[in-house]
Amino acid sequence: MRVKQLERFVSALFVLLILGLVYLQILKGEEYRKQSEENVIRLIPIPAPRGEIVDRNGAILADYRLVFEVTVIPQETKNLASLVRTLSEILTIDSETLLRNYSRNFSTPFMPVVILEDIEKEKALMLAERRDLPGVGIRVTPRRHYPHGPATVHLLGVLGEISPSELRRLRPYGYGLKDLLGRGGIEEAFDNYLRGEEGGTQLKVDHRGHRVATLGHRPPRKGTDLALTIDVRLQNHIHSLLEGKRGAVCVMDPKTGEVLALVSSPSFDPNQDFSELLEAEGNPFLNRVLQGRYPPGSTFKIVVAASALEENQIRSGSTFHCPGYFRLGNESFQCWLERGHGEENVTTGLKHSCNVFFYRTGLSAGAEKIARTARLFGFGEKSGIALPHETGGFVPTPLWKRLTQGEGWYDGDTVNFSIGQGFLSVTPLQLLRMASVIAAEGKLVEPQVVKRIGPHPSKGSKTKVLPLSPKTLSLIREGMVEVVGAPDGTGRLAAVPGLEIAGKTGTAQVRGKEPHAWFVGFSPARNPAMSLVVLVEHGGMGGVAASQIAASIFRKMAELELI
Amino acid sequence: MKVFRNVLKAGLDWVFLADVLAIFGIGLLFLYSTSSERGLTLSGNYFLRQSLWMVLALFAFWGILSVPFKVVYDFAYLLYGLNLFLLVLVLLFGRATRLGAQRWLDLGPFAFQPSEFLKITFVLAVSRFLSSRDITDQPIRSLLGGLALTVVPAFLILKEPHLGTALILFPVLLAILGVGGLRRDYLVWMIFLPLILSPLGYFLLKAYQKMRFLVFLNPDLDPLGAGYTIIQSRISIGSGWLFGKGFLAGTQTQLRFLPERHTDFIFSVIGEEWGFLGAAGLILLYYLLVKRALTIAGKSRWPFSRMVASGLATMLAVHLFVNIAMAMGFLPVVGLPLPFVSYGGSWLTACMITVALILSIGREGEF
Repeated sequence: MRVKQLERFVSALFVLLILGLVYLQILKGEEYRKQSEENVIRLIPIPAPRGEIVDRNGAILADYRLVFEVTVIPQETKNLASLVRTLSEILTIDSETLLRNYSRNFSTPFMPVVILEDIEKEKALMLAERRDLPGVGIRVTPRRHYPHGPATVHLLGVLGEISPSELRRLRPYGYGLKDLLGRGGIEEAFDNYLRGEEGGTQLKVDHRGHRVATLGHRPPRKGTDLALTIDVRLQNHIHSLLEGKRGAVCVMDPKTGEVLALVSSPSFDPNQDFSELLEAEGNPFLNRVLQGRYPPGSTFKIVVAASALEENQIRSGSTFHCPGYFRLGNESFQCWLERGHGEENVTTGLKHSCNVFFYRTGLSAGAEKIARTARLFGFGEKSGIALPHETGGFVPTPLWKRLTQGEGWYDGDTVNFSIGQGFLSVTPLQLLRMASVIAAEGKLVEPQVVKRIGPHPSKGSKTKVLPLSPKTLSLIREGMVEVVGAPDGTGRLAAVPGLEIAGKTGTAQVRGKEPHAWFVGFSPARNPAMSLVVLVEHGGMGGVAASQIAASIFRKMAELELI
Repeated sequence: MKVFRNVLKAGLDWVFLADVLAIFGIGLLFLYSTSSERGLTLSGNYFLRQSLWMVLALFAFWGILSVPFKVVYDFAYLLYGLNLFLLVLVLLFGRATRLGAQRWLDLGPFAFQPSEFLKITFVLAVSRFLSSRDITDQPIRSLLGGLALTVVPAFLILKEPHLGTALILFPVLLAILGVGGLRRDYLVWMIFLPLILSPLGYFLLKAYQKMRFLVFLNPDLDPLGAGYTIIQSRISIGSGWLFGKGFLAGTQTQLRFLPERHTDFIFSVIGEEWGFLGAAGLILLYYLLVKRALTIAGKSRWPFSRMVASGLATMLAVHLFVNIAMAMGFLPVVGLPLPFVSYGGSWLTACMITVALILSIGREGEF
């Protein structure tokens, strides 16, 4: 019976069909269900406003300003070319720019495309009232704004669009394409606090990507606000003092480590397009306070003195004679005062910044000891301030020189080391910590810039009590008081009537150029409330350029009742 | 009234008919699903239009059942010849589709597709030819005759072009030859020769047909172009899972990710909205249908009616097998409709005529 065979054959076909169905719908069902969901669900992100940054008194350092953007929804426009022509007339901008923006920002038909950012309010209102432009909209978006612009830019940093490599690294933490990321300063260091949580609208779309329904909406959550330890009044004053100069200033409470001002110059305005400044002279993007590396010059004599006193190589009464030069073998090293300082002890040596006294003090202590003391004071390592891209500077040792320079450490190297020249390089922030150790009775603090994260006080400064005797500290402090207070002190120009100021000047030699001018100090000399560092690159004598700026800062702080 | 009574009084296979109507009902539901957003207007709603076609198809259905089956034998060659003539007319005056295929004859308010009816008239002609001689004694002549009757319309249909319909004639011919008693070794050759020659046939395919074949082998070749249909169809069926997303709730269908939802890919809609249970249920209904038709064929003593019933049952079986396998992505897209379910007036009418013929054979099977 041939029909029976046909029937068996046909039955086999049906079995195959059922097997296929089992494979697709049961074995692979979950996978295909997911694919079908991905087909129809789209997410339109809504950016979250970034947290605000305020200073210690609540003054705004970074907030956002609302800007008007012109958007076009592709699926609602019929004739793009003529629409762009009309818009270019209204906005008085050439249509090529608009079209370029359109094609750059286009993603899908239902997503509004930004074709022009930041237009004037009048134009925005005019456009919003036009009924004859289907698909055109005005969107108000928050944009980061820094009221104090160039004065705070190194402290705060800027925002920049995420790069592909950053995106790969940060995607697990919720960062997405075209996100803005903090670059430099607080914006970078606290990006995860400051950035809000992006909201979004979930849409159901059809096969052409057109919206069918809105499935859900999650409002964006604003980022956490930050309060800094900075006093923006002081910050602005210092910024104006450094106007036109290259240099750095940092002011800190030596006991708590709270930074009151942190200024680097030259600067730039983060509210404007600064992309062309990348090639600018003087490197305005560098935060000199913690990224600049300089020879400390005579300010380093504080370390040398501490080293020799602690090792009992000198005592309060020990003196060296300064004839104006120091002979070492065949070489002669000059003191800055040609006729010489005569008999000098550690206090007067600091006051006059006598090189010869410190050549001999340094030689008696030895390079190893000086290097060890320098590291104790925080040189050669990062300060731990919560700002990115800090550099640690460099403290040389005889062993390092033997290993890397191919020759031994000579006494001449020790002599140079003793007056803060040679291989040694430091950041202004490190010098500030050094001065603060003297100010705070031997405590080395970690500088703090953030006072509160949201409502929570930030954890306090990590401090380290250095093994320095009170005698050493008071001798050095005495010398530093003389530097500013005595009529023949090198830092007398930093003096302010009515204030007791301790300080140390430095004039760091740079080959072939004007020397860098330094001033480090604190006030009041007993129980200090603030310490500061001033650097003027190629500013000449530390006793002049840097001391004058320091005086102005001390005066301003007194006026603001900060000391 | 007398006609109706005549039709009803005789021993109709009511289970078979009920099965057909159940399948048609499911088809209507899903035509409604694919066009629910268009509203209940005649111009856009396939549910209403298919219902109207069914009314027309029922006239043909009653017509066939109101005459004795013997009449079909008498008119077999005439119907076949007429149908060939219509196929020639299609090639000369037919209406071209958007994609360039020329398959329809315009008849004022509606158009019809002669190739759908040829699937039946060819079965009648081949069956009459083979039943009037002894296949076992004259295998070569029977074979060549059957082939000639098949190749001529296949060629005309291929010219439209409509590869799927042209190809489907051959397995049906094979089934009729087999039921008619062709020697087994001939049958085996008939199956394997085309398989051996098929690589040669690849070069005769049109560009879009080659593309379809390549894309079938690898849908990701062109996911937004030719592969799109296969991928979306698989997603539709697969995403239905065991219970489906619910009637009118299939996102693939309702949001139109799935192309050709109301015609060639309507099975994917059922798979998506009713899931495995619905899709497998439909396949079982089809199985019952084909099995019942073959039972009728088996009971028939007259070689002609046995061959016609087997041929038509095979014709339906091949259609639904190819259509469903294609929707699942296991066969290349060849554009064969699903019997009783895919939208199309000519095809529905052809299906109802097929049912009428099988019922008619079943009614007279005892003779």
